[in-house]
Amino acid sequence: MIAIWIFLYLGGLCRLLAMNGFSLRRAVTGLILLPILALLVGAPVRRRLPALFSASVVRVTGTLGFVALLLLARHLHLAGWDVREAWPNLLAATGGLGSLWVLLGSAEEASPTVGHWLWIAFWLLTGFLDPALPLVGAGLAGFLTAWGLLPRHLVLGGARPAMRQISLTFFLVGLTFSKAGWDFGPRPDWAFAGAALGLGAALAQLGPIHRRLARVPDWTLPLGIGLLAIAYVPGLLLPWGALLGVLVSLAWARAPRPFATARLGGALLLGMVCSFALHSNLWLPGLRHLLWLGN
Amino acid sequence: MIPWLRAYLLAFLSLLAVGLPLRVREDRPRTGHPMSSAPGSSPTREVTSSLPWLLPSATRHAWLATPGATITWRLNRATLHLPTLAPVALPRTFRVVFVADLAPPEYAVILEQFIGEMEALRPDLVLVCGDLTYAETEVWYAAVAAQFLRLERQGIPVIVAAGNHERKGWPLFLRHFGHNPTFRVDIGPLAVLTLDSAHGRDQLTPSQFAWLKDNLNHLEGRTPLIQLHHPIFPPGAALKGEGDGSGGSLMGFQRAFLRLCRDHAVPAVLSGHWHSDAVFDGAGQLRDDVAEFPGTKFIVTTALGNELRQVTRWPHAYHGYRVLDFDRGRLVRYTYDEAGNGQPGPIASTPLGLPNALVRTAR
Repeated sequence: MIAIWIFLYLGGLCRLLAMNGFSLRRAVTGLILLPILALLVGAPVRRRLPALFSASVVRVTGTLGFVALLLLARHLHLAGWDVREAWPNLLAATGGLGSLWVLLGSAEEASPTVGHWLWIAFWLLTGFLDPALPLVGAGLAGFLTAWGLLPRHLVLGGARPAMRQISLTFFLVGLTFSKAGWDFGPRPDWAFAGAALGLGAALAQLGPIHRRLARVPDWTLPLGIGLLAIAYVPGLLLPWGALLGVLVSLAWARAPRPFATARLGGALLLGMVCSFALHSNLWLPGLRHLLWLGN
Repeated sequence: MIPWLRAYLLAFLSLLAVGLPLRVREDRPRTGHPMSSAPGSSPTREVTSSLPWLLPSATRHAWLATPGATITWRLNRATLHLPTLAPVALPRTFRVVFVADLAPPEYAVILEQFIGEMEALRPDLVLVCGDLTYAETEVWYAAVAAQFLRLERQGIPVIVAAGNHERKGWPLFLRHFGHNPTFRVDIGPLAVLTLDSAHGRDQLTPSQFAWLKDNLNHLEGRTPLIQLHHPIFPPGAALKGEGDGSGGSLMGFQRAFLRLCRDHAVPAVLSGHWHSDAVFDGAGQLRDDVAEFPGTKFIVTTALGNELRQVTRWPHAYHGYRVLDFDRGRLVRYTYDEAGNGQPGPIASTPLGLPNALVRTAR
């Protein structure tokens, strides 16, 4: 569920805000930040107040989150997001908090399965129809998880210790994941890269491939993901996305368990923010040559 | 397996809940985004539907009733390909007016004056290259769009590009001027390529550059004309005034862009952003000596209605626009004959106020 929430809700939200503009000068835009804040501080709250995350409460919040994100997608569909309007901001915050509540209420002991990665691929592909739709995928996954209708994650590869460079790796995932979005801007083709990422990650979970990939040394993951941040060519969008997916899947399988939601979610978010900042500052010497091949 | 089937069933129901009732967004033609109309070109109508491969019945019937037209899909993006226009002889001359950096609401009268001048001048095409409103309000965006619509209703097509200020009210820009800011319109002898240089991040990105390259490789005998908000060159040695901020220039793929312009004999690349006139040659030198020189002319045009600035050593500053005349597809004039001696000087754009010399050549 955490992978679904991060790629579909957090990734989708960052993309929508980067495209449509975001300013904290209006208080109403601050609403959007609440789920992000909750991602970073939610785990201690859960430990101190477990009653807030009981099954019945989680069902209510999961349902509420799904409905809110469905309404948000209907509101934004074919139109775009004016973040100065309170209503969509409220829906985004409610949807994000509701689905995150489910996430915090369900212990994450293992890696996403093939099914989870295919779910991410499917909903990232719907981003072609409208960039708000992936958020619905996160909301629906939260709703299904809350009601026990989504298959649980599986423990793969035994009790492998977490890799040492895991925070750096998640930071680089955030840095690289958003790349296609910066490239295509308002054009929807970035969604194909997202779908390829999900498919690549799912492929890496398949039995024989997974066993082979398990031998890949840890240090190659941040290196590979970092290289993909540089070696981006829109003509090779699908293989690029699929390769990133394979590496992301391996990194996720080597994350500490239970999943360090705040640390790794925060690292990934920081990566996305840094990606935006870097691509906004191509005037810095050398940067534009590093960020886009052939520039 | 069953839980996942149930999950996907709910996923499809969710997509239906978002997409029903079936509706479309008109992507082309719309204000600032006309269909191609050049002889021999293939005009298209484009819509984005709320559900993939489905159109509302009214749209579907209208499209299917168009003789010789075909529909193609990319998930929920539908394109109606109209029959190729008959290759008839074009008038010898073709006049384009280029304008950028329009007026904020408090100077609405300037925009009104410009539209009035265009009604008198009757160019074949008006290019509006970004920074349209300087006010991110629905009312002012609607007012500006209505002014362009006024020209379109009189048979003067308007092509709108996005500027950096559009990013502050991006949803408003998309709502009024379309969701695809990178597009091509074949009109008269020209293939007008509109780029989005101004999203405050990469300016030209790899995919946009690939799009430009592909279009320049498929000109089919038309003269390419490129408009993008940011100037291609920095002021360089010609700097005198504001070098940063408004003096900014293209960052992404600048060298590759220049190679493309050279290889495809692009006569002119049109930009705004500086609120100041300037013309550069392919080497990035300010050409304040002559109007005619070999290679692509990288033309920067003053503001129509916002504050004026000095960026280069070119000393003249006034509100205006640029008139470009083409003769059989060849650019023959792009500067204003300030001296009135029939010899266009360098750089100068046409001052607002529709000079008499132009009135005489109006159609």
